[in-house]
Amino acid sequence: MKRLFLASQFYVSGKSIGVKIPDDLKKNTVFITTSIKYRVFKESELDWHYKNRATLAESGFIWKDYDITGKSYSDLVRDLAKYNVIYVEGGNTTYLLQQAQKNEFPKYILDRVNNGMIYVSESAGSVIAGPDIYANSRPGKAPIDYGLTDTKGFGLVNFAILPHWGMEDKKPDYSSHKIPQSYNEQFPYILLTNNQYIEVTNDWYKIIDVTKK
Amino acid sequence: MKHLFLTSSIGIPGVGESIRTMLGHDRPLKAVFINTPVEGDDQSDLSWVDEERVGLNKNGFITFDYTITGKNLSQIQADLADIDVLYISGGNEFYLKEKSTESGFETFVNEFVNSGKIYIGTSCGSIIMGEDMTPLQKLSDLTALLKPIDVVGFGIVDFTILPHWGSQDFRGRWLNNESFNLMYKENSALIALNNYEYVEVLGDKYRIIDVRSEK
Repeated sequence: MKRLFLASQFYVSGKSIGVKIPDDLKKNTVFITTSIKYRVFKESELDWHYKNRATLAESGFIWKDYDITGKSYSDLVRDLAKYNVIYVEGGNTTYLLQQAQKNEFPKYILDRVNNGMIYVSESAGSVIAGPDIYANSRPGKAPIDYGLTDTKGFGLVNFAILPHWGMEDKKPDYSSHKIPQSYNEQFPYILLTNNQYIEVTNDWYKIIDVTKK
Repeated sequence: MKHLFLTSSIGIPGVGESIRTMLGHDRPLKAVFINTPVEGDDQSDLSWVDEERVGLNKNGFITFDYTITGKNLSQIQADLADIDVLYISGGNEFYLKEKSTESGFETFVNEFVNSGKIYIGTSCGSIIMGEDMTPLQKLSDLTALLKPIDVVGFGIVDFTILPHWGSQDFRGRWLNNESFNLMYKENSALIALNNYEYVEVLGDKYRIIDVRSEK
């Protein structure tokens, strides 16, 4: 059975996600850190990332960090075989895809998820789960900045997520880039606020808003 | 269990066919075509209404037109007692909401949908099933409507559909500052749906079908 939990901001919705995953599986989680490895951050810039880690811990996840950068396909197969849950962190979607294309991580993850590995993510990790990442790019994090000519995502779901919808600090990006870039007839777009996540079970999904009962 | 098909445009070839395949009905289904939203829309070219009707009729949904304008709930319940399918057309969702409030139509829709019978909507008919129609205010003409505009949908699904997304015909309506400012809020989830897609709702879960991928 295919199961995914695609969040916009994990530390907001993670507890709701955590209760839906059995404890024995949560204890065997791999945390993909690659999307925050594209540059060196000051600690103060990673407040959201540490909140995500805290939420994972509070929700019963036990994980090992893993960066796919520089790994080969056989490394992925060997290193990730033992995990039941994969958590893909937010950050730079374009960089994550660049690294993923180098070692066929999309092929690996598609196969694992189709065979029951539970996929949990936020922001970049949720965007890349869809059919394509292009709509979510912006200057400085555009495909051309990373030498990408192919912007296909993992294709785990047939819709593209636009995360952090409604956040004031993201408004200029959406107005100038993401909405114009998503105005096409390629696939459906789901505009997801930080209070919402999409729960996928096989081909069906629900949008959960954690502020509602 | 609720079973809804929320389309952007059932007049697009392949959409009605896909819904028919999903339902697998082997007999004609009696379908009411609620055309009230058309009354609140631009009357200069209504060819799209005929296209919607064709999309239904050629797929085993035998339609008859019906408006809720001027009706009351008991009339609506009596008139639509034997239908298999409730269809609400495209048009003006805010005009439809106004007429629903006047007639009690929303009560009928809720009872019908919760009984497990089939609901199909196009554009306005898909938007109205959500909770919040705020983002759509630039899409329809509001000048003749009662103020303040009632932007609350029927609340049968927990998302709001932005129909005709990506279409050149609607580019100017979607891609402008006023529309963006109405949409850009932390409210119900928004699904931007192009003309080749529809949302199938079954109980509390849903999926989006692209009819181009079925060929």
